[in-house]
Amino acid sequence: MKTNFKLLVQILLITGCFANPLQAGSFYSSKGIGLVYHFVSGRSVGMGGVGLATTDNMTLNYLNPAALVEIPYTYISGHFLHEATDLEGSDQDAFISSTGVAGVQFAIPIKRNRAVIAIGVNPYSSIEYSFTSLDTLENKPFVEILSGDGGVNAGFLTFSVKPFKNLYLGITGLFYFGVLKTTWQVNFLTSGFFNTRDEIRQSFTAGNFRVGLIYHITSGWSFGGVFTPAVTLDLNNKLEERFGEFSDFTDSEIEIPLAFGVGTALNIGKKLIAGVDFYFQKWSDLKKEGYVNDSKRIGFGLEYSGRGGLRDSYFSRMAIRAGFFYRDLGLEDPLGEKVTELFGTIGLGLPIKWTAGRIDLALEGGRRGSISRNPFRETVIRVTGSVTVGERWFFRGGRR
Amino acid sequence: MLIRNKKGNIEAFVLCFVLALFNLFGCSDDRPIQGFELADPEDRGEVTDTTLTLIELEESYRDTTVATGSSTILSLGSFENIEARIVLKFENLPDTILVTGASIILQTRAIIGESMQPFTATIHQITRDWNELSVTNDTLQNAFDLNPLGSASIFPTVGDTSATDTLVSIEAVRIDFDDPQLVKDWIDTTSMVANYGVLLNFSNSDFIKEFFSKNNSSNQPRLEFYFENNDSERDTSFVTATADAYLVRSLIDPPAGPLYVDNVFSHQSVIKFDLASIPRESTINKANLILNVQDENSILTGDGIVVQITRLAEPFTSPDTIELDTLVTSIVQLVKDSDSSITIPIRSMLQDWTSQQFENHGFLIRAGIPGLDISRVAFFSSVIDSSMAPKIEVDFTVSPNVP
Repeated sequence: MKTNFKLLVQILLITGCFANPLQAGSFYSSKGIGLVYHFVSGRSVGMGGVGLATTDNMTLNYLNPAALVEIPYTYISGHFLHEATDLEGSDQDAFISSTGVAGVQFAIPIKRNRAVIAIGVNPYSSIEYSFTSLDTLENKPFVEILSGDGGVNAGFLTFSVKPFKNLYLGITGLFYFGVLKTTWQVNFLTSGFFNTRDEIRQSFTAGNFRVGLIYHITSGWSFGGVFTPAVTLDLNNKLEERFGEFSDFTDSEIEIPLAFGVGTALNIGKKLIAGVDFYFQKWSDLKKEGYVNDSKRIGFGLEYSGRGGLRDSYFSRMAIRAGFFYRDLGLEDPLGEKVTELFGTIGLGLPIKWTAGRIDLALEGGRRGSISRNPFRETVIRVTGSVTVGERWFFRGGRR
Repeated sequence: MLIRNKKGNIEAFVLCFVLALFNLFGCSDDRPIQGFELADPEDRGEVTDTTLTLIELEESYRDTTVATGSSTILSLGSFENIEARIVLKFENLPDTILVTGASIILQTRAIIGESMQPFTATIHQITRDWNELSVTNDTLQNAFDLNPLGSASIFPTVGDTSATDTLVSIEAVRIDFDDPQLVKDWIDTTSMVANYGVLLNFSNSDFIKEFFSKNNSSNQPRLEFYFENNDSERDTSFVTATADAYLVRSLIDPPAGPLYVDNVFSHQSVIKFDLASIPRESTINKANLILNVQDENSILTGDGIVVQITRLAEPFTSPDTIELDTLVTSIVQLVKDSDSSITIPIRSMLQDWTSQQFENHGFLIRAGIPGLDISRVAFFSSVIDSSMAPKIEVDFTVSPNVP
């Protein structure tokens, strides 16, 4: 029964990822490939997004491939997210919400504590915005709607290895895919009119890679880093209208600039972990309107866990997390005014089954943009749920 | 056991909580940003309208005269250089009676023209066989005996009509045979006289009288005959027509210039507009073809005339080689005698052309019910009056620029 239940959860995670992908709404997602989604792991969300240098035997890391090497069993993890964004402008308010699956990963230890291989998919960026207005043309009223959705997804294949006792290395092959969609609609309010729905679809695929490392300076202090080179997405453009579609347009390009991140994690006593991450992406290379600066993100997080054993109480095996992060999106809107965000986070780690499963819940709240400098100040509430389930499939022994 | 149950309850609670959050938050109502001041103008298209008046091809021509045997109307008389005669055939006659008299009875339907003077209708024996579905004035020509077998005065009256011009009592016109010998010969099976029916001719007419044809369920043309029964008493009986049609002839073609459509002489018109001003990626929201009626060259009754618009499949070179697109349904529109112009919705046809799904070769306007009556409509063309020429009023949107 329990096995069937876990299998059902795994199937739901995989299918949910494709059936209901994440779309995080924001006015600032209307530029380029949208709002880049920074996700390290379900555990890290509650810690201000910190996780480049943190490892444990139950966390599947999406950003640093080196962090997977401590996985002892076959794990599958999936992440759900709900985000509600309240937009406040100088003369109007708006509201966007979205719910979806934010990633799934399947990891298999090839040699326990020595090598792990993983495969998965998660969103890299998302676009979701909508404008609307009522207008007339010579006594013919109509509602005009401009909306954007889609984004970049990343499928990945990761190989993580531990060549030496204190050094973890990892490499991830990335497959970017997705569609950037802009939809323009005109709905006439009088009868006898055929409404308009024009959708510009820019589809693409591209390959890239990411390398990562973790070095344990001491048993309680580690350092981590990741690097992803730039990649150019060749956009295949298509216009879909209600009466037909056109695809004879020349391809266009958009670049995802290089990115790197560094972080450190320190064990304070037996129960407390503190971490700091810095992540940088060179958006100034894009040389497109609005992208003037580079994106910088700094996060700080704490995790408290009783690290209880099998005979200890359930609550002693839970984890409590908190953190905050600041991010400069790299955008200027309007030109000369940066768009930044500041968030606080809290989270819980709830073991499902000792050593083989966990539920991570996190709540993030914060602000993006400024009402005095930018078009909108966005107040964001984000709830993330992650389920990690492990099984002794393909179990092999290995050096500890 | 207690610890395991407690842990299982917590697991179940947390999973349910997560799923509940997932479902509950998925039901939020979004409020979009009002106005487009902050949107990228390149992402928006344009809502606009225009009137297409540039005509690349505009031609009116006459095709083969149509047979009228399937019409519900029989026309007799002359009006505006159009002459009409009636042919009737009565084949289901009894063969054991002695006919002493006969009459042809026609039920009046309408009058075309405003004359107050009656004309004379005469009965003539047709000397060659004919088929109602193919007979025309050109095919029958003079295959009838010029000697009249009977006559009657035809008056410009209809019968009683209601306030809405609906016939409430129908006038019956009777044309008597002076000598019923022809009818006797039809009945006599030993006679060598073939039953090819009769032709009703006219003289001194300046209006056309319409009668109900045999294709109506009632008021059909009939041959009424008088005979002596077994008791030597005079009795009457009748048979309805087994075939009928009206034969038309145009003495003078209508003046050149307008775009003509008529039911019986197959006047048709081809029009092709220049659509270059509408971009390929545009969505046509509404499109109306406007045709202005030229009253002085139109012949319209209270029934109006049904016109049909069909897309051309190939470029128009001549009426003999015209090819119509049979894959798409034609558009049908009624032109009433009170209409000064008609508006025909052609959105779908225009969309196919502007999006280049189908090549624009123009369209044909022709009669929707060929052979029904002598109705004709004349539309203004660009040759007569450019301000009244055909035009298309279009509401459309231009798509946003594709990067």
